[in-house]
Amino acid sequence: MKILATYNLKGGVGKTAAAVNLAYCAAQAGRRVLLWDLDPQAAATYYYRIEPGLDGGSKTIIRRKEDLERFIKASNYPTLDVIPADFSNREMDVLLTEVKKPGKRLAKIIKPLAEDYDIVLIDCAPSIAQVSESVFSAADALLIPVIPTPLSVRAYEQVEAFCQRNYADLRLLPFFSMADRRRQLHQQIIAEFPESYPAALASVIPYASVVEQMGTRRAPLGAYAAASEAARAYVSLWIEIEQRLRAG
Amino acid sequence: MQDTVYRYILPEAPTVECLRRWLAPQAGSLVPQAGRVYRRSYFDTFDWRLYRKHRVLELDWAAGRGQLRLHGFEREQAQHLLPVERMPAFPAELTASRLRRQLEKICDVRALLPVANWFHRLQRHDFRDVNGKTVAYIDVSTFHDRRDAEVLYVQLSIAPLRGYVDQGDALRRQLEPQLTLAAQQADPFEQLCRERDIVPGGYDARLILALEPDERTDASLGRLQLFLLGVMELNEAGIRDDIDTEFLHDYRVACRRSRTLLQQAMPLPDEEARARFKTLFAELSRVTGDCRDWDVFLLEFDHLPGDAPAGVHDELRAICRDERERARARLLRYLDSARYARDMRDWRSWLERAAAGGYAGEAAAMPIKATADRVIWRSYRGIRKRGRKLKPETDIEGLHELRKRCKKLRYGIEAFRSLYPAAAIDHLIKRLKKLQNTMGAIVDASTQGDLLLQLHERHSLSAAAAGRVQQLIADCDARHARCLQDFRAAFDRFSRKQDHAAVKRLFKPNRIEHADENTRHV
Repeated sequence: MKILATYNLKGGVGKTAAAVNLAYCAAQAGRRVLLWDLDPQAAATYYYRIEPGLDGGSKTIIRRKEDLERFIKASNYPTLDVIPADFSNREMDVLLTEVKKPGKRLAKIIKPLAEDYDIVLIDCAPSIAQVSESVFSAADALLIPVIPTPLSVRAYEQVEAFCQRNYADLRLLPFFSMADRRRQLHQQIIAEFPESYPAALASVIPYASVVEQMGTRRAPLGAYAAASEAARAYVSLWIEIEQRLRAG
Repeated sequence: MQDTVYRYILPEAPTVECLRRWLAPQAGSLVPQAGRVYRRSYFDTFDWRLYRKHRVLELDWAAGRGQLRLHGFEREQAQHLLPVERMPAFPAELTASRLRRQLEKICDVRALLPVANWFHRLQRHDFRDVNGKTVAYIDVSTFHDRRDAEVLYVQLSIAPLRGYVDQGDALRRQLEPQLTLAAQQADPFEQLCRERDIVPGGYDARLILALEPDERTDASLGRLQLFLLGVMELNEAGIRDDIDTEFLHDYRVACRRSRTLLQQAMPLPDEEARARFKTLFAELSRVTGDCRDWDVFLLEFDHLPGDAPAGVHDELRAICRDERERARARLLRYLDSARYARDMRDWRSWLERAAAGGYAGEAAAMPIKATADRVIWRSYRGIRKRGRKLKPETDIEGLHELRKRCKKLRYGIEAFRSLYPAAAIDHLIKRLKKLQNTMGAIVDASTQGDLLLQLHERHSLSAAAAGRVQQLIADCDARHARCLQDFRAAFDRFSRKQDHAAVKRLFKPNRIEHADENTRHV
């Protein structure tokens, strides 16, 4: 089982869209996937038409180390399950500070699912706090969407610096998201970024209205616009991620 | 992943309209998906371990991908699912999953073999709640011999999605009253097998023939031996194709049982034939023994004590595999020989004559109960006598001999068990098993040590591998010495007075029969 997390310090960069679509792509490729929506906004949960809420809230998971299995809901797609978000996820930071070894708590909770899933994909809220650190400890790789703008690149650099200092073994896989090839600035950053960051993934997720339609369709792109450029970009992104994971 | 599913066999496939009508009171919508055709294969081990545990392993295969499903026969059942890209020969080769763990537990070292294939047309319907969330699949499956052949069976299943058990149960409660007249069995596996004249559970190597106490000895022994010959024949193909190690195991056990019955009870009237078949079984025992020893060693290879660097581990395993292949080649040469074919053919014809009660002589006409009493009692008495005198620390040959005698006693008891009260036989076998396990541990340590010594002497091993082998030999010696210490207590437990009295009552022939015994030469 591999644990991946879509993460960025900056909000609105396409983390949830990436989590929802990559989970779908992985499941379509025959992987058994669990998407865990840690973001109290519950957008990933909403996209999959699942009611948000965990019986007993996050504290049952964090404090009592309750079996995650009972919170799992199947999505509308085979081999893709979801742990829905709960509004109490916003209190996770506080809850984690109350337990022993908070950094290792998420890894410990996820471990019993190793037989059931090939991929656990965590959709994180944009922050750098105790929850994020617990995710960093648990994850095999962070998938970091970056909008090709200077501010977004800067946010990535901050994450990278933090991880290098504290989580040197954690693999960072940045990729461009919401890229508008008509804009020269986007083109320029996309061209230059890999020179500074060779770990960057080559697939680029375009800015497209079809991605925005996920909110009204309440489904991953592949389910209603499989032939679109954006859907194909997510497929190619997933293939690239799998290759990187296989390469070790 | 494990989920619950409800299954029903129906006389005909319901239409979408029919399903909608049945489900009308439920809030939500029924959305049919595109129909799909799968190749449906069922898998089990050669000895039907899954079927015997009331489990069905099915694979639905289409477009280079498959869904493996392990479930029971009941109407409501937990099922384990696993997507696969190929069907492996052994459960251990599957992706780590609950399904794999279940299969490993049941199948152990046996390979999964296809039972048969059918075509499975699946019409899936999503049942969606008011938010458009699918909460259950309502599947209508039809099974066909060929893609376009007529429908053999129709199955309806309600599979609540994970986390939507209550909604699934509501659908079940809604649907079931509509199905009561039609629904028959829960799973089509047995019926589909019947269509192809496949008998699930048809192979069983256990000797569980019911004998009549007054039946002639030759007829009973003929039936028992024909059964054992059948087991040997059924396992030959698996040995030749090297499917898994247990084909040879079952073949070898049947062979040893046959040999024991031939030596101890079979009233074969022709001394020349007796000598010939004794030689056949002795040779088979030897030629299968080498290969089986390497099989056992390789099965335990990954669990050998102590750590070895990966390179050394692989080097030794490769050499063991070569040794095993050589032993297997010798075995196959024997099985392919004209003499083996002739001996087996003649053995069968002698057995058929016996089964028909066609042997001459007093021993052949003796009621089987009398013969069984004599064989078991004599064997048991011999073990008790030898075991009491045995000093295993100084007489390892004596220990080996005693172990063989215990095996023979066990085979005798198992062959004739239907002639005695089941509880008494079970108790005796349980005691005997404990003694056998103790002696088995001693002999296994010794056999492993011998094999390791062979490796050391026959092959030019790397220094690291030679060191590892020496370490393992020392471990075998230490284990051997430890196990030897357990022997006396195990034997005393086996031969304690109160149990001995019970065995005596059960098997000791009365005086008249005893007198007969002295005049009999079998």
